[in-house]
Amino acid sequence: MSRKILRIDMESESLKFEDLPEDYKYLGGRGLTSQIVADEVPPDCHPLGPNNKLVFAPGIVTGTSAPTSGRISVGAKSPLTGGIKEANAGTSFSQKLARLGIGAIVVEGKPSGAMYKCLKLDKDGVQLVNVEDLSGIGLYDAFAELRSEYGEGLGVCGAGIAAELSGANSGIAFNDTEGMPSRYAGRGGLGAVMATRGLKFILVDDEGAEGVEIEDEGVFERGRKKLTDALTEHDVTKPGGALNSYGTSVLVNIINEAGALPQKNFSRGSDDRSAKVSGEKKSEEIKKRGGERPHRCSPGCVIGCSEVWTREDGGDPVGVLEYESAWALGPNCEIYDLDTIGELNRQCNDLGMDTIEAGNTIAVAMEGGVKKFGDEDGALELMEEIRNGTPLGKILVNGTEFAGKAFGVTRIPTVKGQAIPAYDPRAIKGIGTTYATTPMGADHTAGYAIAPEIMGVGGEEDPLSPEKAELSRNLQYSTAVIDTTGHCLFTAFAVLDIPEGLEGMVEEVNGVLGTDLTVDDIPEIGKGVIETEREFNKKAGFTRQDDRLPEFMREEELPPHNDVFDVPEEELDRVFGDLG
Amino acid sequence: MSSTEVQATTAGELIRKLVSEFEELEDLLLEEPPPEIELKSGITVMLNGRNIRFLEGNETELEEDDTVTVFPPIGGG
Ligand code: SF4
Repeated sequence: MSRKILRIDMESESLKFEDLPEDYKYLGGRGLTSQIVADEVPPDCHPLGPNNKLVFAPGIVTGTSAPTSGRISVGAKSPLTGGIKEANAGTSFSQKLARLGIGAIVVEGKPSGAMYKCLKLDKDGVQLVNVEDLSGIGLYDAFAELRSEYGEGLGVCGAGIAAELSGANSGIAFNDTEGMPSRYAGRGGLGAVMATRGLKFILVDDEGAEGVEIEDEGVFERGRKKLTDALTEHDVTKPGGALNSYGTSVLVNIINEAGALPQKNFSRGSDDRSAKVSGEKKSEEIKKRGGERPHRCSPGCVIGCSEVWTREDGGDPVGVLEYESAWALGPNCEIYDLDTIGELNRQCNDLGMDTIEAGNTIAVAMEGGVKKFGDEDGALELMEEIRNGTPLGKILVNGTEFAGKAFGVTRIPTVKGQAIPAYDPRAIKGIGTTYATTPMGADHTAGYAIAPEIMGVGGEEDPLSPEKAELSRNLQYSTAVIDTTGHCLFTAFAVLDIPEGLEGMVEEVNGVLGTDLTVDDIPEIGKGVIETEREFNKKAGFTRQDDRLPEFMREEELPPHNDVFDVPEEELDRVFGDLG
Repeated sequence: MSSTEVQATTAGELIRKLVSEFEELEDLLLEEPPPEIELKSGITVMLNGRNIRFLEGNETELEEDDTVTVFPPIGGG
């Protein structure tokens, strides 16, 4: 069974399956979403107008027994950046889609009415059902209702209240293994693209599905084993290793020590109070409360960096509190209380918002005097403003740059309109180079220079050296490939250090597709993906000036090391110089 | 938790003294037994927030009131 594209025109409500075109045969995940967006979406269209399209694609090996490979990529023209967007999440939703033989779902057209629909998908076919009654309801309740009505084991994805408000900070939520809306293709406002197409939820049932076709079982199996061995051997990814024991927040202490954990809207790089929101502290609390740790976002992950955070009494589970979320909603707003951060994260999940963008938005609102820094109740009140769709809420739901301008703030930490994640680029310059140059807008996952700059994984690079073009470029190319395979980016920690692991990843792909790729092909494939994305952005009006960090980061010194972002413009332009 | 007081003028000396005081650290931190001080890959030693690998390595000089932190292999995102 070859993979299909499911195309849904929401205006005419027509649903049809197409064979995956020959040109797309070797693509999946990000490679496929970006290619379809580039081929079908006019770069100058309004992201929320009728000509944008929303594309979902599981990775190439997603749905197989390949370890840690349950990612789904979602692509469109972004309402937040105005450029191409791919955001991905780990969820059984993706595995189910792949097992049904679906290579991509393309959602297009814009209905004139406002009736929200849910797309239901199983081995016997697809249908659109009315879900107007789930409009205006938080995603925790909506996911629970859908699963109780249609089946507890189903894969669910949905856009929330933030998307209904057409917010440029609206993500797409996917089910975690508990069925909660905690796994997010969060960045770039993709939820609003979904909601403006009149689509609110997708339900996937893979019961009786044929599964992912594997061209060469022997090659696949050999690759699977090599990658699994690498993941269970490397200190960062192995059972009982850093990610498995403490989750991504294990980074809080080391990044704070390096003077790179932004505090109070990027005005300092460390604060002793940060330890209160560290991964170590959080795991201790989870144990006391009876939450879960380690935990997996999707079946088949051998790393298990996830967790279930709960209230103090062990009730009202939130899902995972990632490093990025704990920082954005915490120290960046001068909030150092895990319970408040947990509640803010719950609100983001429930409203359907990206936590990085939301935390940065609250921080600029605090800088603009809307609330005081450190005002925990005030931060929660801002979430209520969004839930109630008040004028203030409508400003906040549009993200950091929009809110910063509305509140007269000049220190707005964004690139291409997207908020900067949890590493201050003045103290770690390779990640800053990635923020500046990735086609996605500020995104740490696009080329995770923290690995060599802080962790000594995949080589060692001085975080303060401004020569980072090559490092960022190589990481961005290899990341585009990992995002295409459907593997979680955290597999990179092992495969960057253990060559057999990387070989294994390539062999898995060869096994599924019947190709004979080698490790040496990786940069070229990654380059192709990024070239497609940059080309789209160029046609959408982006220039080199968009590959820059905000002025204040180039001019304002960051305590305690008092550095500025001094990677020269020529160095930034050198990252993708040959791509134009 | 145990605590100790050691005097050291360089980062290498500090690590050597710590390892001789707390034997279990040797396996965690070092590639091979002392006197060589070669940190295992993934082990990060910072002096006032700067990785000693990008300062003078084991020869990095320590001064009164400096903060030295040692981190095990860490990953995340
Ligand atoms: S490492 Fe974490 S985020 Fe990645 S697949 Fe496993 S549980 Fe999910």
